[in-house]
Amino acid sequence: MPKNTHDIIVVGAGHNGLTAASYMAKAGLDVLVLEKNEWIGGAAVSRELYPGWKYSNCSYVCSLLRPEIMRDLELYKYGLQIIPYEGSATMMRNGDYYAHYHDHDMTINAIRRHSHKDAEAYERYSRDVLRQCKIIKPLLKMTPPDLTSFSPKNILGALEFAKHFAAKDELGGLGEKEIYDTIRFYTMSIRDYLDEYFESEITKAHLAGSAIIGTALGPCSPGSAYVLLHHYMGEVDGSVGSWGYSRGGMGSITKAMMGCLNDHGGEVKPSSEVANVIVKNGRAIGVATTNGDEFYAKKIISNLDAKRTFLKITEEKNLPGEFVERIKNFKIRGSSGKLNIALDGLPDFPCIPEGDPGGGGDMHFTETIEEMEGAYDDWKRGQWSRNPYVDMCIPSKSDPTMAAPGKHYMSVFIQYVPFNLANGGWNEERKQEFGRHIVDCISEFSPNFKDLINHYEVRTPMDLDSEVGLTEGNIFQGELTMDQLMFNRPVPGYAQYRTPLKNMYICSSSTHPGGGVMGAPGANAAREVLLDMNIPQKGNYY
Amino acid sequence: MSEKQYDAIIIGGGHNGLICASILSKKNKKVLICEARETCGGMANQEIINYVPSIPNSVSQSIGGLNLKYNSKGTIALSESGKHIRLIGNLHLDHATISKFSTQDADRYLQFHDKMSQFSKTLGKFMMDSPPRIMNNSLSDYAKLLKLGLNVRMLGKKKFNEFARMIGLNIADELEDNFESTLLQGLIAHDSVLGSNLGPRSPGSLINLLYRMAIHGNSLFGGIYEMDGGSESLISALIEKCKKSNVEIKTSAFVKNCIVEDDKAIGVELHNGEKIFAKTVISNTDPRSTYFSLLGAQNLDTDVKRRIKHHRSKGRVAKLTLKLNKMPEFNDCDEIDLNSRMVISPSIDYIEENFNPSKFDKLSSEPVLEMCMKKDEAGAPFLDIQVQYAPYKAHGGWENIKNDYINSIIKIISKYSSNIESCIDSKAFITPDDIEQDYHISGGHWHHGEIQIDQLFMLRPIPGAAQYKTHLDGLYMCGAGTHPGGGMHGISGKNAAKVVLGDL
Repeated sequence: MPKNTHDIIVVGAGHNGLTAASYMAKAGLDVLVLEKNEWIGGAAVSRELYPGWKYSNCSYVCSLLRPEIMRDLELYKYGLQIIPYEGSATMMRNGDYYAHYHDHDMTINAIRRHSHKDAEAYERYSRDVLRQCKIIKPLLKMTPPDLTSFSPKNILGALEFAKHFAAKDELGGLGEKEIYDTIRFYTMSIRDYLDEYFESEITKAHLAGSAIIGTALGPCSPGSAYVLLHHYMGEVDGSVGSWGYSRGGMGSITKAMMGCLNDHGGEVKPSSEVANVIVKNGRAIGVATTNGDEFYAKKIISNLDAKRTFLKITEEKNLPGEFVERIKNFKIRGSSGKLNIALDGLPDFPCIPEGDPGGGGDMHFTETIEEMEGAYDDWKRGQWSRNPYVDMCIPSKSDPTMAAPGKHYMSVFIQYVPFNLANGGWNEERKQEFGRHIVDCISEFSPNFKDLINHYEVRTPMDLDSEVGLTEGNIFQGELTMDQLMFNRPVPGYAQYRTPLKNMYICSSSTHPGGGVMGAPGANAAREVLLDMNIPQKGNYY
Repeated sequence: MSEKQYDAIIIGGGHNGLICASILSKKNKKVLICEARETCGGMANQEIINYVPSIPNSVSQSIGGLNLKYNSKGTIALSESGKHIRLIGNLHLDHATISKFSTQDADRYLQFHDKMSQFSKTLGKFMMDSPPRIMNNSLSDYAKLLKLGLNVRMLGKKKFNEFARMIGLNIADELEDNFESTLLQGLIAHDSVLGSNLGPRSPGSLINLLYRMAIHGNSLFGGIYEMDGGSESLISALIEKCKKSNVEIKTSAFVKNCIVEDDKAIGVELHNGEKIFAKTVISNTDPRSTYFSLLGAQNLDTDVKRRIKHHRSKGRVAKLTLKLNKMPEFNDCDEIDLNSRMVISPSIDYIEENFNPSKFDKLSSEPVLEMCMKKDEAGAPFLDIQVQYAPYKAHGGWENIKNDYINSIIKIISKYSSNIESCIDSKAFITPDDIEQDYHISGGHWHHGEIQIDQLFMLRPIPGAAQYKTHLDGLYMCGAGTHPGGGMHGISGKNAAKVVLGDL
């Protein structure tokens, strides 16, 4: 019996891997998580990259983390605390601004300043989008059925899936119209969808941002409306669609998960990059790391994205040829960049009145859909956007643990940034040029911004790829388009967390329901593993 | 004031209306067609379209058979280098042609074509009948849904998975995954976006290609025909059939609105005030015109009004006709090539760059073109050019930008033809705005409405009106704005007739 044998090995200590590991440890299994970096958390990390400032240097806000997971893993016990956003704002070149707030009525009044019609339409819009959120929520924690299988489990699964879409209308009757509206919502572009409600460009531009973050789509691309849902279906404090900061940065989430894992006997080994899966007699029996260590287990769970899982750490000969072809064609294009900035004080944003809660959450400056689409068109040509869409926030305003008193940490998320930069690719010089470009764009809205900058870190999709291990820097580990969602994720026929290789599973965001700091892929995968091992499952999630 | 009452009045004498009339009259119904223009046929004439598919058997049989002569047309994708790709829809020959460019592409082409035609055949099964309603509590609707589901499942597990993957996919990804030749990619991508408001990288562009293939005999480059006498000969044949079964046709009869009484359509009022009554009124015009012009916003509830208002039907194709004083020379092209469908669409990126400005109703400087050489009655040559991504209500107004645009088109063509400019006698340019005005079709859209998933099948044109009946009793729709969509196949007309017969 070889040493280093466990029940479960999880490859990658990102939040999904830690979630899956925790559930399995809670069920009594001996779990080992192997992480290539010195630090854990994947893209949900807080790191003091500059003395005195903590950066949430990849993901930066929390909403999608499933409340059931938070309860099951008792994350609050291990230090997790989420502070809801107060609002969000888009700054306008003419000095005005557009804002939404945590408080619904305040939001209506704010919209009314720009358009009465839009303020009225917002009620209808919220109601319709909320309905879509309600429909999809139960689906997040379901394993997608295999539609080609006639097995009872899959047929029942398919009916269960379909049942959730057959929403009842307000009068309790059968909702034919609601089904059609759902189909439309899943297939339309966000621009067309918003056109059906709103007339003013600024309203549409403010709302459309959530539909393009992290995607290789523009606001005019069919299918972008669905992504809006993906960003709206979270909740903070029971309020659906709201976002918040994790106290201590996003790393607190993964730290809390690790706390739970350790408490239940699980172990995380950093600085242990898995080189390949060890296969014997057609079964995965363990992994080998780059420094030569070997670890064995009954089940191997990969938390890497589909491409790294199947094309990097698994030898091609152990997988069906057609499966490999499909994985090669799995779309996973990076389109996002980031600036993490250490500030000596709070920058002035004159557009937003002092004390207005709109300045306490996410800030943007893209005013029209055309501008947003133009940003996307630049990316298609292999360039960073001349007029980028940004999602900026200053977490230290509500979370004093991120910086010293009076100092601030600012997170700037940018769409669109190509992985393959045209004319030669990324190098240090071009990276800095890009950073300066973003700083320039922000300075247009904040006169003292540049003076306050102490340090900043520029991250391109290349950095996300090499440092975090997100292929091509795609933050969702695979595009959120219909051909790669639900029973098609990562590839049709293999959407149930099991891989073609016996005893090997995948629990990352490349599986249903996709990326974002949700934890659902991890929890779903854990359920399937426990099912296969005939271990009863307990907890709110199940 | 006409006291005579018809069984059906059909508004619009386009091919769907003629087919619908023909089927109704064969069952001894008294039918009147009111056509606004001087002749019937709608957009099925040389002025608008370059070539046609053949009418499916089920449609021609329903009207007692059609005797039409179709001449196959090949396709040539032009390259500035002179290395053009010529495809005719015969897989064996096309494979050989592509092999000269890339042997890998040639083999991949066969696999790709096989897959796509299987899917277009499956899609074709969805196209033939009226779409079922979900949750309508009707046994026949459930049976239909089940049958359709089974048809797809019967493709086999692998193909089913592939089908499910492809529904929302964009054609650019699929082409880049399969082929290395950028010209071949550009050609297939062109056919996928023709007539639509999508770019090659837009999700849904693949479905558009499948739809096109389903109409053209499930072939990528086959099933493309020219008719002796143009598509007008199809129209003449249909008009003859109608006249034979005593269908009355009134031309230059613009219908102002539908006459509504007690929440039911009971007739129409013409522009000259004449009122004509009928048991049913069938609109062959586009959905927006049907609901807003014929019915009027006052007769619609808020929900329907909003849905029709947002029905997407902005035309994106303009037509440039160049009358020539002699046959032009195209670089490295022979006579056969000049008889083919000539496509200028060198790559996916070229198309995408041209698509970008059209999203905001602006023009691109290097448009995507599909050209056909024709001869008029006197034997003089003219070049018919479909210009993709020429927007309806272009930014700045067509009047101001037309001439520059035409010049940019000719400039593009001169990259491929050394003497085109010297051959031009005169130019005629029709924009989507012109089509809207002349043919009374909102937005000047070929298909009376975008071919996109949320406007197809049970959602075409809007939910609740996808079975050829509008929300008003007695008012039906039979045009391209209904299932399955446009494309000169007549399925809409045939299906609508069936529904009307069921109610009469």
